[in-house]
Amino acid sequence: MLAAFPPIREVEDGDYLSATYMETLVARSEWLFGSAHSRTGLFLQRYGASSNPGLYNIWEGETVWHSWHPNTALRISARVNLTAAAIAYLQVYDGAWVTLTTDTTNGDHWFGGSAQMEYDLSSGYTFADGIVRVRLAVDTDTGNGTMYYAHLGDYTPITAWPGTVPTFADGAGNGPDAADFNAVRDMQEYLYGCAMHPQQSSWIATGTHAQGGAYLPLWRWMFRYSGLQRFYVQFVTTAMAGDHVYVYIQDVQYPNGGSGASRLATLADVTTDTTTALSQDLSGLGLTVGTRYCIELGATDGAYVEILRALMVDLVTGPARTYVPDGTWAEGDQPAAAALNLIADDLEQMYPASDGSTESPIWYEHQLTTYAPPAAIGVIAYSAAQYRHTHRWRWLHWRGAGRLVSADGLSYTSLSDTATPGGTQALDLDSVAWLDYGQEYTVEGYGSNTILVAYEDYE
Amino acid sequence: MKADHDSIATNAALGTGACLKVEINWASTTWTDESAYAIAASGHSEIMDPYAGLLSLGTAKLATATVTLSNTTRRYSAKVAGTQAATYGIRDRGIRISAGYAGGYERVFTGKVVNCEAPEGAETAVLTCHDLGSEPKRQEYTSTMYTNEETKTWLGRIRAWAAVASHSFENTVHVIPYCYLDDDDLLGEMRKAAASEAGVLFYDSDGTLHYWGAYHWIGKASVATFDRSDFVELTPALGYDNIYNIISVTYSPQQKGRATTVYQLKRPVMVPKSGTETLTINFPKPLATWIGATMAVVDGGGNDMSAAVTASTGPPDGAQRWTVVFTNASTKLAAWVTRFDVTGYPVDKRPAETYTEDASAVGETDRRYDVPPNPYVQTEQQARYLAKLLAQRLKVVRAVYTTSGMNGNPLLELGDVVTLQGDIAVTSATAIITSIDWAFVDDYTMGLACTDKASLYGFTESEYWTIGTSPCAARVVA
Repeated sequence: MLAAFPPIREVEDGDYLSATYMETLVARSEWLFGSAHSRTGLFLQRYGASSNPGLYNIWEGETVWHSWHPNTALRISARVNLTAAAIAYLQVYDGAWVTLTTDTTNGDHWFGGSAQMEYDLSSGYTFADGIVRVRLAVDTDTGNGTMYYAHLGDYTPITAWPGTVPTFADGAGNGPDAADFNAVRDMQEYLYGCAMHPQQSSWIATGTHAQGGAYLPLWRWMFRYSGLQRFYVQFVTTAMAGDHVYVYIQDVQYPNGGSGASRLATLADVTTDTTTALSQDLSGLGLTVGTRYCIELGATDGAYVEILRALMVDLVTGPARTYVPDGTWAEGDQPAAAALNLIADDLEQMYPASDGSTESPIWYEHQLTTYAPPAAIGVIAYSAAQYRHTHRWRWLHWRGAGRLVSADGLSYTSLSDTATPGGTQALDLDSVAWLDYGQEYTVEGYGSNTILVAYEDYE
Repeated sequence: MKADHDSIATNAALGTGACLKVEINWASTTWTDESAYAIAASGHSEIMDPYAGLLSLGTAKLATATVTLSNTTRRYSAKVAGTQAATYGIRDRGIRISAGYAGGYERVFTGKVVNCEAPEGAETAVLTCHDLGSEPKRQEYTSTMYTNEETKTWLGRIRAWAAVASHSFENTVHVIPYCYLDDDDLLGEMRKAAASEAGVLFYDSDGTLHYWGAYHWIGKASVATFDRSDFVELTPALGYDNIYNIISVTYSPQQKGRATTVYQLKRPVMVPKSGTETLTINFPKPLATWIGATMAVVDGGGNDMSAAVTASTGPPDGAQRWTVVFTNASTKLAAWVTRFDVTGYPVDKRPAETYTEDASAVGETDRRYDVPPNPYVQTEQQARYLAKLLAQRLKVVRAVYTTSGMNGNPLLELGDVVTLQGDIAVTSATAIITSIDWAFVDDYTMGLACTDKASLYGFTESEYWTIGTSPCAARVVA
């Protein structure tokens, strides 16, 4: 969004404190706090299984490559199960597919031999089209697998978090100096780097499966827990002849991942044809802030589940904010220590501490957005697939052809394909008159048009 | 006020023994004392237009001086062979003028000779001189894009491009998101940057370039008191034309766009065999970041010649232009560049917005002032700062005091705070010297224009909070 995080200068001792400076300082914090609490979609943990010995993409995803941004480590967690001659590849596209890891181990195991693989993309790659596109493929023989998460991480900030967060005190002899104010500014710059990442969308569709008498997961969505969050999913169940549709929360690599990989709670059990709006406060489930979890939605055979919305939002009561800085300053104001401490403390609560010690952490990972699964994966079938967004950034990136549709279904804008089908494209969403920031919309195919992937970014 | 090393202040009060020194830098290495030829001199300098008052912040005119010199030897006649002026030229020669009393001098002007009138029938030459701003005023410059520049940093860059060595810039308040020059005159751009913070930019009498911010006069005490014994006339004028209670500042938000093709060649460009062709291309939008360029080259028959022709490597020399040199290594065939696509991240200008500060009181007539557009005012924060500052300063009628018939005092400087005391029209006023007129014709006299310092700031000056000095305290809204 335009100029929402205004620049601010480093002050020097002897400068007069201006109301503009203080108001700008607080305005930056406001934007950051909003970023910590943005409505966001969930990463789709895609399962894929090849039925032929040829090249098959188990999972593919992408995000924007920002050359300025210090998130340069690709981190993935994937499980593969390979038959005799099968070869699994993790590849990144840089003008051509470049193999990062080749895995030929038979049987069910962590791809690459580790529950998390990491690759340094900071050098040796150009990403000329500005996109980091990654795939997990199997070739030569059959295999299957699941991508549990994939993101660019390893955040090394341009502006470091200050070694000591300033504490202000009233009274003579305690006058803060420029270094104190600049430390607050540095905290904001650090958090700005965290907040500048593509906005995750949720892939939704109508799903069903034909595995007789069995329960199968239809969706597995991954998210990183921030604390006071709510998972909201709205779905329609039909053809529920004695069937169940379950919503679970579970460890991110369920059912794998060691002793801790387990289902944590059942969030819903639907047995009738109905529309369900599940608004689940996650704060009471014993989750650990900073840890990744999975929400699974599945059905017993024959049931149809149409997902209408799936996203992470604030609690119904609104976001928690212990320290609320005052954003209104007048020329000639003399700041009290308490007012300055509110600003610093508020920022401190946005630090992405993986130990859960902060209230509103801004996670810095650039989640890759999973490409839409095929219409059929074995016995599982999907139709009416969509990427559902909450509009935050100006640019929509997509591949394929389809259209933007407003949440009420009344407005749409066509998205054409590239001459070579499936090329990367971007649309200036400011040019879409019916779309406002904060509004929900979908990107979806129609007729023979298919959307391969869609997500928002700030450039 | 300059330090008084030669009892100038005492002698200025007496007004006797005035002396003038004129020096010209003929050979750009040494200054030659021309005082023996000096007959008269006068000058004007200002930090803001006394008639436009605070509205003219950032737009001070160049200081000027006029010097009448004896030319009986044709020393200053450039068209007479063998003279000093013919040997070295007279235009653009450095000139500095000092004045004082009893052999004690202080500089009152430093600049360049911009014109010399030495008519056939006269035995005098009259030099017209402008201060050192005349140099950057004539210099045009093109730069690449600079992002999130503090105003002071940007001022410093322009100053460096203008090769201005002696300078003194106060800290600035804001950060300008996007800055670049595209054949812009350097003095004009510095003035715009200064105006974007309601500051002043000027050359002082010693040739030092100053930037003062809006807070410059906080805590500045009066350096001299003048009463009826010091001036012939003191005229207060109330600037009713400069009262405004509603201030509007228009700003132009800008944003880095997506990577795109920012330029495409619209015609084939011929590159001669074994030769080069220079093409200066203008981008429709300035570039925040250059990515690269691709081209296609053929001969007259359409055969590929891409192996023979190269283009200058980037990045472009300017944010909005690129001088590209195509070089054809073929000794047999001319080449035509048929495609030259430049890709990069353009800066998109968003629709302009306006911040309005309404400081009108109930029952007051609305008097609205629209601050002229300034390319460096790009954020709402900048516009709000300007609007609030100007509204506070312009909502009250401000007196402008002019004095005449004063003995010249070369110690006085623009921006000095002085106390003016009269008996009838003005009892006592603390004011800022905004312009100085001086003249030396046998006697050394001067006149001042001063703007009232009262209510220049919204609060008691001691209440302004200084970083690194002032303590935190229970919040007080002054």
